[in-house]
Amino acid sequence: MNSIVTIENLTKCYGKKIVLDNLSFTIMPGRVIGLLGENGIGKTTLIKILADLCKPDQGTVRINSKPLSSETHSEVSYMPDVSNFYPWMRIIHAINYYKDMFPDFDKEKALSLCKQLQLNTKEYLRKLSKGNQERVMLMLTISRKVSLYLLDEPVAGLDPRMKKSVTQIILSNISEDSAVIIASHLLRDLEEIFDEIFILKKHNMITITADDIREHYHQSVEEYYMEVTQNA
Amino acid sequence: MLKVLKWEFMKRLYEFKIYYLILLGITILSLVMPTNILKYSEMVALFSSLFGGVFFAGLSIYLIIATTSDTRKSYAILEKSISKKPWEIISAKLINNVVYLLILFATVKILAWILNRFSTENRSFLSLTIEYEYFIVIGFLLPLIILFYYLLAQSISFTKRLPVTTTVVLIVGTAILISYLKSNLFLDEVIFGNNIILNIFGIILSISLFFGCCILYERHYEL
Repeated sequence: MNSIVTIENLTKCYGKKIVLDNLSFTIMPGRVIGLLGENGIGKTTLIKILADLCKPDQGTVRINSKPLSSETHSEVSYMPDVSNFYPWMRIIHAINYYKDMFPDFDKEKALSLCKQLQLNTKEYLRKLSKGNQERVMLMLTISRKVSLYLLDEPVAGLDPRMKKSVTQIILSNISEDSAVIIASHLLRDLEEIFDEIFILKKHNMITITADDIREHYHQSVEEYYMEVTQNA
Repeated sequence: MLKVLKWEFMKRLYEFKIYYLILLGITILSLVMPTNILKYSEMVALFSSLFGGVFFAGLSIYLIIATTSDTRKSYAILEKSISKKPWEIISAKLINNVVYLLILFATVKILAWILNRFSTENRSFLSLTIEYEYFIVIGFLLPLIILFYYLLAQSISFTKRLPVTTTVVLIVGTAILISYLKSNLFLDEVIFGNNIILNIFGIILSISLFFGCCILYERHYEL
């Protein structure tokens, strides 16, 4: 089976600050990856590089064996941590925009997800609360049929009940041929859906499966994360 | 391509909506206003011509920088991540610039024609005469030059952190170079004296800048 993401010796700097230092890893289809790390460690940068919004300084990044370019935009669905729509848009405008800009977008699925996520398509995006804006972004992101889903803090602004249903919605709407990377600090809410954990540290990255954490370390993902980052 | 054009058109429409409504309002008011109520009709004509003129000038300036300023707004992430080629995204913006200038020119022309009713032998209100080159230079060439400079500044590590300042410096530098060429009689005659050479040069420059922008947008532009 071919990997969806292949990263070799990826380095990214902002000025003199090295944010990502010589990272290498692959992601196989069907995996849900939890991307963890402290604030400012480079989680969003890594996700943006995969979404082709940021450029690596060194190293190679391939999505389905293709180097990053506008061509890989059709392989990746990205949910940013902030709303990025035109200020005049209603939810239905955003759905139509996605329909026009992404051939893989499923409008029927998006409308059905709106019902599940209790979103009124006539509402203006700028008037929505942070939690509702996140729901809109999530609805649009997972209504596409792509190989790689990138979710940056997908549940940060949601209430506990909605967090629970959103994790279920993520799992039930993404096919097994795809991979998902979720960057989040809210480990308790998401750890049950992670297959693998990537913990970004200052000069390296720890990769481990969620099963290994539970079986070999007898810890939850959160406990493991706290342990490996305490001296960082 | 047509879909990108559609959403670009809608974006600008919402941005200028309020000004277009005012323009429409004063156009209707100028049309229905009787010319024999001297005091009021003069006031309406004066305000209408002032608004029409300022709006036309303001929008022209805005469109010159809008293509570049789009790349700095929060929705730039959305526009950069769509499944479209850079040439489609950039050309949609430039075509829309020209379309908006043409629409505005037509609207202001209609307003000027209506305001003619209030003109007398000694006094005329709004008058607008421009060459077709205006639409190409303001809607296409200048936005393309600014976008190219901005993307270039973003692509070089030395200037990456100050792309706006670098762009301004490059624009000023270009303006100084053109003034120098114009002030030198020989160079002015060689470059600007022959319309055919100037047109060929303009076309080659536009094509190079356009493809340069597409390459920089694809390979170096980041958010």
